[in-house]
Amino acid sequence: MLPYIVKRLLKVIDNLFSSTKFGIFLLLVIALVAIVGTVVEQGRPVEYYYKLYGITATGWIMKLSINRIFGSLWMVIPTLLLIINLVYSTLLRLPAVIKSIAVPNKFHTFSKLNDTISIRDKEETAKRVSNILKSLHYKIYYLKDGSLFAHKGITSRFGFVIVHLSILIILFGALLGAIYGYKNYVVIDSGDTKPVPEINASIKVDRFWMNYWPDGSIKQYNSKLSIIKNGKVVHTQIIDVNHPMDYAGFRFFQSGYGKSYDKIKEAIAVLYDKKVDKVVAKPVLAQWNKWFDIGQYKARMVDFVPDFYFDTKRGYITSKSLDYNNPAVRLQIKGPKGTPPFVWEFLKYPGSVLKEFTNKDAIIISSITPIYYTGLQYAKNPGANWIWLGSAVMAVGFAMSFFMYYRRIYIAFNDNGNTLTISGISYRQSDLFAKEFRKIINRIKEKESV
Amino acid sequence: MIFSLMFFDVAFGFYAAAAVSYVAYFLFRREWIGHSSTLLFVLALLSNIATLVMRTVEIHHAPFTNLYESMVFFSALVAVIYLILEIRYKNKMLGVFVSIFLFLSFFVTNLLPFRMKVYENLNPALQSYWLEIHVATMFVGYSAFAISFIAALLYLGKSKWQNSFPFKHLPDADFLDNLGYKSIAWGMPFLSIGIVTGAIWANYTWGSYWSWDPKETWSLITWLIYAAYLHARVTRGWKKRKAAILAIVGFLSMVFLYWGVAFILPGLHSYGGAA
Ligand code: HEM
Repeated sequence: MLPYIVKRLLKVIDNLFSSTKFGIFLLLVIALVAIVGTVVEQGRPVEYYYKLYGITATGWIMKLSINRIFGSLWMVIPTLLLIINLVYSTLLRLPAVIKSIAVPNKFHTFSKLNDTISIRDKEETAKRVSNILKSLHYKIYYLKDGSLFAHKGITSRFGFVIVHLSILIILFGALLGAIYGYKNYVVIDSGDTKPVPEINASIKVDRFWMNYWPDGSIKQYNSKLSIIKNGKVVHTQIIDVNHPMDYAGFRFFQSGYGKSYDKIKEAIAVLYDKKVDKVVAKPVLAQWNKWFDIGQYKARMVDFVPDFYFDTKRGYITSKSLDYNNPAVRLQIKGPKGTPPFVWEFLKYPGSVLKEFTNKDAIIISSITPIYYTGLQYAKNPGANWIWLGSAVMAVGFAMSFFMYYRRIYIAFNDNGNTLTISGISYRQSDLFAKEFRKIINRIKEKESV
Repeated sequence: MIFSLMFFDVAFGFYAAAAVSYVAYFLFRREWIGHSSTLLFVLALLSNIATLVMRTVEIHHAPFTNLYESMVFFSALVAVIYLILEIRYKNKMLGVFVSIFLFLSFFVTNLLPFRMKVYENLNPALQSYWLEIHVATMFVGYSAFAISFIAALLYLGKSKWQNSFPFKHLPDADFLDNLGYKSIAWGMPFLSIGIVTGAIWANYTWGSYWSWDPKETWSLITWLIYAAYLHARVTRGWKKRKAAILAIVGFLSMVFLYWGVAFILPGLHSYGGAA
């Protein structure tokens, strides 16, 4: 025997979780939490909330996880309750639904839809009636009391079970995604290769390019990718923003691009003589990291920064930003005695450094062609297929619930054999059924009128 | 751009005329006014469709890639659904409210700044046939919800003041309640397909099917409210009134999903230059 208090408690829980009202309440609670999640921006740095809401409110926002509401207990608890509610009430409801579609054992009339029709011959009419109902795809039964029973649309009564099942499947997929989903990002210069440990191979970006609309706005970003395994190309594919690449369970997306911040493709090199104030050698198209001859010098471009900055404290050169604000190329140079082995050449201050050393010559670098990098996002989500499956199941459930309906018709022949009584009822779509019921009556009457 | 903008104005004018005519029919109940109301409404719908056709010819893809185009598309859908209802139920009384609703929807669309009425090149993420499926199904859902909203409002009015003007001329409360339910029974599957195709598209383009951006979140909120509506209707002991209120709340949520998110909340979906 359970103690009274436990019994009471179980009763309360049973009432709660079997009730559709509680389900409606939970649906609206989840909607409310989601609204809060769109009003308060999610996942911003603390300063953002501080600026907007002040210190006290920000404290609460952090404490109550309102800045990360979607993964928080605010969302998880109502969802768990919803699942319990959904499963419990669906299962509790099932026996009643099964009972409601059972074949009855005797005739019944309903007050809303019924009619009495005079007939000529009981046997003949019975046959005709059953043919009419059959042609409308009703299932027909002869009851013990001599009456006729027909019903149609049984599956629609189970639509809600299918819809509810689909919700469980979708939530299961979401759970899998939350646990096993994985996402990463890699930046690769056009022409470069980088290892991607998750797929146990390297990716080479053969080329990155953009397409433009006639007015010059960007139409598409594209990358040609090769997957290299043990030194061999095993797969090559061109991706763009709407066409990712699938490889080894991962999907690779074109999700970013930019100008490379540590090298360039090529540039034009010119030798300038300060004494005579003239360009003294033919301009050369210099390739990155390749030696080229210019006048009496040999040079090559070995380093690049987009926004030159000399950190005097620590004594090294870096880039202030990733933008091409003050681009500089470091040249390695071989030449007559007195030539420095390396100089930085600033594109905005042509030839300034080398001049100081040689007092005469300067190698000027101009018209640089940048290399673009492509930003690849790669992701794996084992839950996604469950979500799609659940969605398909939901579509079936909706079709069963909304586009089909259950109806039953009872027909009794009265004792003297010259009238019949017909009565019907439907679960949902009472207006459609009223029409169908009229139609059936009219078809029965057609042949009975004298 | 010229032709679509021109047909827009023509449709706007016809909806205004149809609204006036339906109101006159409602007041004076002359058959010829009823006929001319329907005629004006059909003309409005034809020019509404012409706007879409011209736009498609001008831009070479489906005409619902910005707020302006989508409003024109949405209005055409609502008008088509209404005409089907008018023919099927042989009742013009809802026309008053539908034509006023469509007049208002053209009115707010017309208020959009000019830069939002013209076509902009599609950004790379939008160049996908998923866009067309996603947006089209969403809008079929939206238009069904618009009808359910009108039905729910009228239901509340009718059930409270059935015998006083103007409600006494309306179809009875059960009809309105049923119409509201049926519209939602159509709207809900379309909204669901819209959300799922959106998720498939996002998964394909951004690598995740759901990222809680405001538009996604509001589509879920709207979906949840309509799910609550469906349950309110099957729950015994709940008056249909509560369901009708949920239908209205659901529609307001949909309006926010459609317009509010674009103008107020930032995100991936900021649409057609808004936000
Ligand atoms: C999460 C979203 C949910 C969706 C989309 C959903 C969907 C549906 C649908 C489409 C129906 C059929 C409605 C109709 O006949 O017009 C239904 C019925 C029902 N649902 Fe849900 N449901 C959800 C959650 C819940 C929850 C949480 C409960 C818990 C109480 C619940 C309990 C029921 C019950 C008892 C029925 C009535 C079945 C009947 O007799 O026809 N549902 N649901």
